[in-house]
Amino acid sequence: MNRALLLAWAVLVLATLLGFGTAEFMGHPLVAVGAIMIVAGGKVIIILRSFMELGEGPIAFKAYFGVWVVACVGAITVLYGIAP
Amino acid sequence: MRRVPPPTFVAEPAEADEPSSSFPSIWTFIAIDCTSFGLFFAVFMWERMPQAALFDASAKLLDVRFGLANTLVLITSSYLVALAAAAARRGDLHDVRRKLGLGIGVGAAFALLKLTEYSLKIAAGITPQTNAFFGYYFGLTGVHFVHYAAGMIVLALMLGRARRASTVDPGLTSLMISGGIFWHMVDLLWVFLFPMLYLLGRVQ
Repeated sequence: MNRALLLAWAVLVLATLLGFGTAEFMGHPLVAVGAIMIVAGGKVIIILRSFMELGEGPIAFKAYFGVWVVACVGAITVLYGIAP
Repeated sequence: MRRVPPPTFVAEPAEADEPSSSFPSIWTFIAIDCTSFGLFFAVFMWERMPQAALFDASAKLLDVRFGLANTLVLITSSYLVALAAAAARRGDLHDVRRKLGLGIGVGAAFALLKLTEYSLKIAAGITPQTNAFFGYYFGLTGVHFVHYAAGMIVLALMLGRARRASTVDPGLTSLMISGGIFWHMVDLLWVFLFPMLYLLGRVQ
């Protein structure tokens, strides 16, 4: 349990630094924003599953939060893409 | 007229060594709150569309180091609180107190950084009235800060309960899990706010 939490924390820290680095160095704006938001969405899923233990919850909540994460990442990326 | 007795609720005892078999009801609140923030994100991005240049130029005025540091602070505090909940399940009261205390200590750095950032912006003449971007910046981070403050109060109450307890009972374990879920939501929401407010405007 503690080992899994440590791994989740390490991945979250690395993903945070990766997302930050992507904003600084990646080329095409829309690709960069897509990558940043996908990394952010991945981090949110790790928090939901590892820290909040949503994986052990009812399927309806798991489905709802899955849709919510995809909707947030998709909306931010698409709306940025319309006016980069 | 016959009096109807009020309904009674009997808390089911949770197994100390196993994950709680009942799904914490705080998840309903979390779902509603996350939905609200999801709408805020969409409104911010929608408002950005006709004034993208202004939003990007304004975002560049934010010090990304504050946002990055606060992300790492919340992730680490969240990790420590998750460890405290795991310790509660093991029945290790000493570790519950230690990890929760550390989680609160690390989490306190968020307020220090955020209030410093607000002060620097206001000292530089940047307020919610400066432009639309900063209206959203102060509004979104302000609402998030209210959640953060509520989370810190919840963590402090949890620590107080853990300090008074002589053993980890099912009530304390349940409190650790539900309070922890709320604290993780504060972290989770910031994980979306940080790139949206600080990073998108820096992409060239």
